[in-house]
Amino acid sequence: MKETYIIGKSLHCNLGNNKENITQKVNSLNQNNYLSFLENKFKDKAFYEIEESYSCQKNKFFDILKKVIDDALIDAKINSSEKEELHIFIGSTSMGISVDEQINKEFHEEKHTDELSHIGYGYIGTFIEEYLQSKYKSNIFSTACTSSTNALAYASKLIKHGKIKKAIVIGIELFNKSTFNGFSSLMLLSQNKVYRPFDEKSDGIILGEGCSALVLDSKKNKDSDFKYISSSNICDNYSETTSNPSGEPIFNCMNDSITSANLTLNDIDLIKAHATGSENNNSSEAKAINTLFNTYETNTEVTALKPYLGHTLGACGTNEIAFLLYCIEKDFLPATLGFEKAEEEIKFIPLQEHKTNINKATILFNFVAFGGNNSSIILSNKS
Amino acid sequence: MYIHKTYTLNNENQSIKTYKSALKEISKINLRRSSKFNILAILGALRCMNEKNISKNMGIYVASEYGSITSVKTVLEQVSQDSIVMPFDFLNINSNNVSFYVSQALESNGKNMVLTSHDLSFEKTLELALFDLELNEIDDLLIGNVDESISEIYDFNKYVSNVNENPSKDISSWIYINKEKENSLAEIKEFTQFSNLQELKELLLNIDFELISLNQYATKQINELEINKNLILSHDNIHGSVNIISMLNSDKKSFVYLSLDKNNKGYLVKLAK
Repeated sequence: MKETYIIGKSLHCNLGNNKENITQKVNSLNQNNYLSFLENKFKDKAFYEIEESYSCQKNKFFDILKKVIDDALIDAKINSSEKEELHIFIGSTSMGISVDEQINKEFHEEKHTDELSHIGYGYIGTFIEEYLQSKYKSNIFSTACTSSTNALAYASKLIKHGKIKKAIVIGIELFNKSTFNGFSSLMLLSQNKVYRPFDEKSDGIILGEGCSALVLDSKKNKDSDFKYISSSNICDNYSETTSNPSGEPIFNCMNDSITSANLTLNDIDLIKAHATGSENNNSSEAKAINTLFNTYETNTEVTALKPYLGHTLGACGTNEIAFLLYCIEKDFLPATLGFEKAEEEIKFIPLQEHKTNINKATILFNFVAFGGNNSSIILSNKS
Repeated sequence: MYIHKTYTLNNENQSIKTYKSALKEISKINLRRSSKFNILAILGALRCMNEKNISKNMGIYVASEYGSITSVKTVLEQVSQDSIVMPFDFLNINSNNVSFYVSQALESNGKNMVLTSHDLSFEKTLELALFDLELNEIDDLLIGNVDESISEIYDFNKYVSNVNENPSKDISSWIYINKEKENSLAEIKEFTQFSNLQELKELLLNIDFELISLNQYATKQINELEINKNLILSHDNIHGSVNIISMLNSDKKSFVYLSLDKNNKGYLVKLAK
């Protein structure tokens, strides 16, 4: 059995498009200045928006994609001849719908002859295959908010079992009205415009956009590279849009990832919760974490990252992993901004302040998606 | 890995009402506001698994080239007109609700996934599903190739790879696979990826078959690959699952399915009865 390491990463999000910018901003944020940070960010709409402007949606989509790929390859020290050996895994919820929206609107305004950009989203994979000149066909995962997590889990396992040698895993989610208005029509968006996962004042989701890439290899580049330990995917048939309120499937998913690696909760330094801020997710995931702590008769740190990035849906897997690994490279675990007082059902206190002097950790990343798709993944850079 | 059950729905474009009525006859699942894409998938999956007991840990995999395109188009029109995006329309563009509803209709508790890959969606999805089965992450698997006809989209061929400009059909084609040889329809003997025609030619040197089916891009390479035209079963050409099931329904014993994309990357699947 081989190992799988994350040897390169990149992230383009509302906080910036490189490690230095992003971690500098995160480090400067705390519970006291969080509200003013959001007020400034949400002047136009409550959405974590990438700041750069682009001439059209198509350019935005492909320019961001190319930059994220290039940055991850540089970070991984992948040379041009190695690029063709990369297997490609992509995860997204909305795929290229932002491009279609623009084309369709221009079609109705008689500025464009086609009513769609494409039918289906396979073209995104073909674009990346041709950009990298990869020898291999891409896999595109469409499992809502667990899309890029599932992409990462499969890529990691394929390397671990010697089926493939190297991979690039990409998550992309860009602003589009279909998603924004859809979440609004489901009345899932925060009205107070403050992201407060697990907090008693939490009132919903705030969406965001972001794109990230992780480069995987069976050999590590440096000692601090994170290794794939295990993962679990459990599907819950309770409802299309909400998790089983018992939290049981989410608990089973997190626990499976721990037990399948022969670990216990004592080995986990941090749980990165999915923590969308929706009433159902706050409650069901909190119950699952409570159950985990009760089962192992111990607890560990918990944090939530959506107050920094917004909910980037299908890309949140690779986005939040790249984000957290950046923070650890800068020796800290980020606090759960916006958390003040726990909801009644929550028996734990997420990280209130950035925890410093941390550069080695074993982390359980938890994600939950529409369609009952739950995914957990454990990564570690401890020896 | 052994194929135990198959089902193919391969119709000219029909209304959602037709499929809803057909579904009502075999399932009580409530899908009042669901999309044609979802209904097609559930109908095909249930017909495939008819009277078959499923394991507690069956993986469900849906491969689609176009996804829920009719629903996507509805929502795009709503956005273009600055209208409200209706909740059910929004949920219908969330592609993985298709596998969720298939899973719910079959009362399955295993994992479910929705995947796409340009012109090779079925093949890429089957590759991952077989990997899950090999790792024992699932006990058995049900894989579907699902696409609704796009014939109502004006000049649809300019948006998709339809080399021969075949009519666009409603497709819901399913294969059930597990590791048990007993009572199986066929065995998957080989499932091999190749990156170019040269690699494929080398693979073909060592493979015997009585019948071969080719997807649309592979069909263009018949001469280059020196394939005996008498052994070719001509069929749908776009959906891998449909092609494989067509071969299994013949009286031959050994088969090869060849699928390529426009850059000549692809898969070779060898099956035997």
